[in-house]
Amino acid sequence: MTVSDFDMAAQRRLEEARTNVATRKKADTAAAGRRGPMVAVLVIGVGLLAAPFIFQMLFFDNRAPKGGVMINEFRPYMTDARITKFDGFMDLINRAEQSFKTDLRPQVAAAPKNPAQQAALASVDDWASKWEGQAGIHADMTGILRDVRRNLDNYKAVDNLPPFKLFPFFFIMPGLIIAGLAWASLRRMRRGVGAGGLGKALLVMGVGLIAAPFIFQMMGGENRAFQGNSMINDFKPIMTNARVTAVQGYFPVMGLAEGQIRNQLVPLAKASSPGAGSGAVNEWSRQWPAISSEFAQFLGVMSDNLDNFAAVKALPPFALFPFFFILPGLMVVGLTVASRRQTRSS
Amino acid sequence: MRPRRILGWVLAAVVLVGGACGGSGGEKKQSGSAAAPLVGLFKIDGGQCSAAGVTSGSSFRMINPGGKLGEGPFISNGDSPCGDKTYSPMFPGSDGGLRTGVYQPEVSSPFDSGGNGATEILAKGTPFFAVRFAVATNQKDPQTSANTTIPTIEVKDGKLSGNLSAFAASWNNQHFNQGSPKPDGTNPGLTAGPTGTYDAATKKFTLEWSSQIVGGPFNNFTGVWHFEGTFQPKS
Repeated sequence: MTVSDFDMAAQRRLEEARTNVATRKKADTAAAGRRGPMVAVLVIGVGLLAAPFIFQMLFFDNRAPKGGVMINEFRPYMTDARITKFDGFMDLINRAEQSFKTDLRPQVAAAPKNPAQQAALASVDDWASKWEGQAGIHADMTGILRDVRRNLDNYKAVDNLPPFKLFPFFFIMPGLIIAGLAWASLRRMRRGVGAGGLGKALLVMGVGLIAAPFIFQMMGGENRAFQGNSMINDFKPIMTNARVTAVQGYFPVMGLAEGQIRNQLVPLAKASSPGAGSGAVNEWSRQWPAISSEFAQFLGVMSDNLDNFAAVKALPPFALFPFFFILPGLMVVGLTVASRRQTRSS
Repeated sequence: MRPRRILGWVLAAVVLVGGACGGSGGEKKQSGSAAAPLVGLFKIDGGQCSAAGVTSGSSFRMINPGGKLGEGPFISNGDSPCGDKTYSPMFPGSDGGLRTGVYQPEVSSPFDSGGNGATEILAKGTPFFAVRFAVATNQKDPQTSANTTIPTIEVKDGKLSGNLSAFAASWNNQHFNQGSPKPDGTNPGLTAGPTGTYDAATKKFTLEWSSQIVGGPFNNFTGVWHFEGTFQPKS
């Protein structure tokens, strides 16, 4: 072999290598095009996985467990029977206030009084003035009870959802599975093989995500997400530190008045008229320990859950939650189908 | 040079260690005048009412949220027999008062059917808004379920201090930690004390502390406790 023969052979090998590189580059570009949708599916999986942390459902503010605690602690009060009982208490106190003004007060006002009795009358007058009117204790408390009653069905719908503390895992688990399947599919694609069964599994996961809000009746059926949204919106003006502090302040006013009526004014009126002290006033005194206990417990739940409510309020609106499943589900299905089509066509 | 430097370091270390030892001797010296524990019964005198409130003996007051120690505003108790109804007089229970070094826990059924506190060991039930509250010192705080410190009171130069984290009130089927500090060792809001005076000759004492309620229906209200009477050391 001459030197020129060697040169020609080398030239041939060089050209072959160049052709191979160009072919491989072309194949790689085509494969990257096929992998694109699957990379997007991987990103959606990672997004689902990250969502509970981004929304602070888990860690930092721990909003999902806090929401769960709130739902649990309110449960004994969110019944028609309990709210009806509270309404009955308010009605009784209102009747006692009316009775004080029309029956007891005129008798007491006319009677000679010692300083303690005088002070008692002033305390009860103070309560009566704070009780009445558009911004009075009665209007405020019955308004709160009305708002709570209006949301009994909404609360029930939210309570029928799976426990709040599980919600982060409804994102994390599908996120993990989808990301894992997409990752495995990409590895197969890199070897020039289609996603195969993994693609089918991704389709199932996507359909599962789309179906989840309907299965849990977040949408459709009880429309729980939307009802939860209404409840959170209705409770926003109630579950504030200022409002709860205001209601706390009603107790000493009401309690003082009840004590002054029972200890000072009724005995004073009875001194001149043994039949004094109307049924409603006496009934209020008789029931006041139970009334104050019941209201105190409800107020305690409200007060103790201000932080929990704030955490739930800081989550994205409940009405959006179904779409946090449906949209990723639709995208996973669409992208997986696209990926399979591209693989077939290539 | 090197042996000298080493010697220098050794000497410095000796001086430092010696200084530290000297310091601990000073502390020991100080401990001679350090707070001495008062272990026994702080026998309380019942509150005596006047038109102005409780003029002597033991009492309870409650500050509204946002109030200040000593200034109030205090809430008025319609069941107080005093002229100034912001004072609720307190009376000794079956033990006669507050014991240190031991707990005086609430009874197993802490409330009667009317929600009145049923424990009357430390003090008698105090009528408060139509329902009697009871007080106790509990190893496990019934409101927070936290473990508490055994009640202690110390005296130094006639001034009292201590730890009453175990002190709790029960009223209308509700529990309220009323300790200072709180069981977790903190002093939230207006929580302060205990402070007071002690006359070693007569064994007369005054003991005061305040405890802000944390959580529950009366969150941020503050109980102000004033006990006075005679100390009986544990024999």
